[in-house]
Amino acid sequence: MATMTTSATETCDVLIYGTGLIESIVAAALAWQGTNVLHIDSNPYYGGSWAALNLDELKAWTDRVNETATNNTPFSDAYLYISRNLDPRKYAIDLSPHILFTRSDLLNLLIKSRVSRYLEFKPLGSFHTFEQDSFEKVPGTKEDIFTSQTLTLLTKRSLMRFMKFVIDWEQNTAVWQEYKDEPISKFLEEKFGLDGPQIVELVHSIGLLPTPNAPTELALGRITRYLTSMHVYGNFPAMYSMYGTGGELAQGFCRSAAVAGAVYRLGTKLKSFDETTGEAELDSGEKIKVAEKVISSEGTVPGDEEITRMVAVVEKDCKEWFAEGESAAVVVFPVDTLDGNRFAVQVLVMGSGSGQCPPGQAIWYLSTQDRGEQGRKDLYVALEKLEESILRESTENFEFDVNEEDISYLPNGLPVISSVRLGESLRNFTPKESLKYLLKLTYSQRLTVSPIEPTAASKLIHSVAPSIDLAFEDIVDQAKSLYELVTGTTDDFFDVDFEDEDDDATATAAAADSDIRDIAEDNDEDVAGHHSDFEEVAGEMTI
Amino acid sequence: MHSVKRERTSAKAREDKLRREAGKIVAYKALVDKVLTSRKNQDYTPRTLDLTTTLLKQNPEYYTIWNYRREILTSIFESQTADAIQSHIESELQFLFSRLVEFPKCYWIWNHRQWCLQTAPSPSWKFELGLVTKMLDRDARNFHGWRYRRYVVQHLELSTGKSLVRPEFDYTTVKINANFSNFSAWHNRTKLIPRLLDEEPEINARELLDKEIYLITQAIYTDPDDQSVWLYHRWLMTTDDIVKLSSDERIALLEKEIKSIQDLLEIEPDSKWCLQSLAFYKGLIATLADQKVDSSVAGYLDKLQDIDPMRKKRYEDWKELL
Repeated sequence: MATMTTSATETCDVLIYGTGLIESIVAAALAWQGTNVLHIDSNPYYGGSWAALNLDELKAWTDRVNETATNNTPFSDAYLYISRNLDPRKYAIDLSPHILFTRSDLLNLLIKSRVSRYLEFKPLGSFHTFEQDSFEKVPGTKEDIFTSQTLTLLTKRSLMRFMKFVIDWEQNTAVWQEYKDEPISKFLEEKFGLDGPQIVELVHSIGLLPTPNAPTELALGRITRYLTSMHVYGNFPAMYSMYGTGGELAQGFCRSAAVAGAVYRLGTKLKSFDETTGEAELDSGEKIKVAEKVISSEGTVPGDEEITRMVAVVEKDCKEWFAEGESAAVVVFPVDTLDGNRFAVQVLVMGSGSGQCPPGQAIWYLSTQDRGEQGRKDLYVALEKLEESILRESTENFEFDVNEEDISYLPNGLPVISSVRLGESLRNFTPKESLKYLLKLTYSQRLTVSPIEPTAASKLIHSVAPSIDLAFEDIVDQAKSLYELVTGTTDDFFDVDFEDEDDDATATAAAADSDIRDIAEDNDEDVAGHHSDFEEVAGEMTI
Repeated sequence: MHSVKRERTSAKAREDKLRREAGKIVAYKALVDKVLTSRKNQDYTPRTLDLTTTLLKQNPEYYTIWNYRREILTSIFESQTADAIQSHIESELQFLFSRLVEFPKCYWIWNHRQWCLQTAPSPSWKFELGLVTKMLDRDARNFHGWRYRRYVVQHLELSTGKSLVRPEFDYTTVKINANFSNFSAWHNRTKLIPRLLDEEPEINARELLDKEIYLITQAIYTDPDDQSVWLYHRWLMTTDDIVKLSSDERIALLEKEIKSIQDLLEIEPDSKWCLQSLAFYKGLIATLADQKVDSSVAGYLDKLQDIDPMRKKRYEDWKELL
């Protein structure tokens, strides 16, 4: 058959440049709405600034960052050390690791769009605060508060009162209105009689806020995010996708977009875009006629926010920090716990169960909102503390240097060691072994923003880089506003009806069958006290 | 193309779904008719047993069908060997477990399971304990599960001659620590404590009482709005099952607890359970000491009428009895 060859120009409605999380959500939303999308990325992998890279890709990334870093690029100052003989493909180093709260608009979207079906999620229930030289488990639930051996009755009551208030704080404006822009620490102290460690835990570990000076209105939202996420799927407030956090989600949305007809090209640069003719040129020389708009993650300018990051791969599984059956933890060093740090240092610890590193190892992702030298210094001090802690906790028969007078007994007979004395004893601990670092990477990451406020008339729209919050925040809103700039509305954003399936009953029956086998196998053990593996079935996140 | 919406399949899908459901309803009704007719005709064949399986999968609440199922099984078992009955019952138990997972609060399934175990030539109580543990992991407040657990434990103890009081007591602690808003777990504790003291004479009963009070106080301060903790507190204050207290000792105990509840009332002035407990305990002291009720009680009851208007008359009555 003869073909017309008068024009070799390809066409599309919207060309999206960059496969970061937000761009990928927009691509999928547009593709399902019926828009003809061409989605390209200059990298040979998905995810852009959100990507999780293997070690070969990470080396190339570091070189590229240092060669091309300008004030406008999201990354700069990358220093990478990799010990020899590591299998590069056994690692997935997350450039912008993020956790997903179980009650969040992003998770709702993942479920609604069915992108969650492409991914494997793991629970994250361990949130620790570094206090008195030891890691305290955060009392984030009623049960933690009830069973706590250290909180007084009055503190228990104050904490619970706050927790009940915060669940629907937005309705209770009268309580916080006058503190709206005041520091959250002041609000907690004056309104709920909370102090010291409770404020630190609420602000830093539950709210994941960088300082106790965060404005009350913002902080209450962040604290609520954690508290309302508890027990949605089990005894944990957050989760993460295996093999990489934001990058895997981005890839999932790209896959969904492709199912809806979007066309993908990796390793392809957008050379130019002429807003008047609507013609885009790729580095391959191809010309694309863009009917509507180009959304680009490049050409952005730096915003106000910056984050200093460090990644360390250690030869320890770090299971001491994880909750039972879990493979990740969050550790927070509050303000003023590391030689006068002005911002909290947040650490996301990923064990091998995350699929990001081989067994027997773990990845520590440290970050702070302090910049440059100061930021790096804080991260190094935090790294030392982490090292001491993991060596101590993984040392068997570590003896506390504590005298009888440092121990007091609660009315229920449980001993409590004076925490000051405990901290001192922990500081005096000298490990017999040292920790082996297999990889260390430090870099700075800037939140980049659009150079101009885009309007509905703009042919070229810029997307923004990952948020600096440890949890995905505002992602769906940002994707929606880009979507709205293209379509003029968000009414039909992911308004997709999938064919209904009546398979749920069969799934339950299959689960019941495997439970029967579990009990049969358990039968020799002390079944009465055994209660772990049902949760695996019940808590399995088929969402 | 831009702004042209993708053809939606949803309207058609919805219609299809309604049609499928209408078909299901007709099929269900026909099945019910068929099974009930079979029962009238005293049909106890395995083929009919299968029909009840299908029906009960769809509607486990239909207890008549469970009754019929037992009639069929009883009839089949009459001519079977013990081994055959045992294996039949095992598959019956497996069927029941899949039903329980889907409908954990259906009386008839639990009831049928109990019948199966009574009928089985060699029931495995240990397996049942594992099963009910897993059911309570899914929902720790399922009172069907707790009731069944006591039934299983009783039989397990009988068959092994070994007491399970200590592990069962510890089990309630685990469940309470995981979520103390659990009437069943607290209730089970009240049943286990007297036996625990019986079996472990080294336990100092008074110390145990103090430990239980410490535990429940943590719960009360954590969530004073939870009724289950106040019920357990009241049991601790009034029972002779833990330690027999003289009137004076009881009064001293009540006064100490009243003090603690008053402290709580200061920060939670509108706590209904605080006020009720104070009124009740002060009334109890008056009875024990054969004195007039403390004057503050009338005030508590007035306040209760305000904050709990649904039970206004009840508080009025109470006040009159003072």
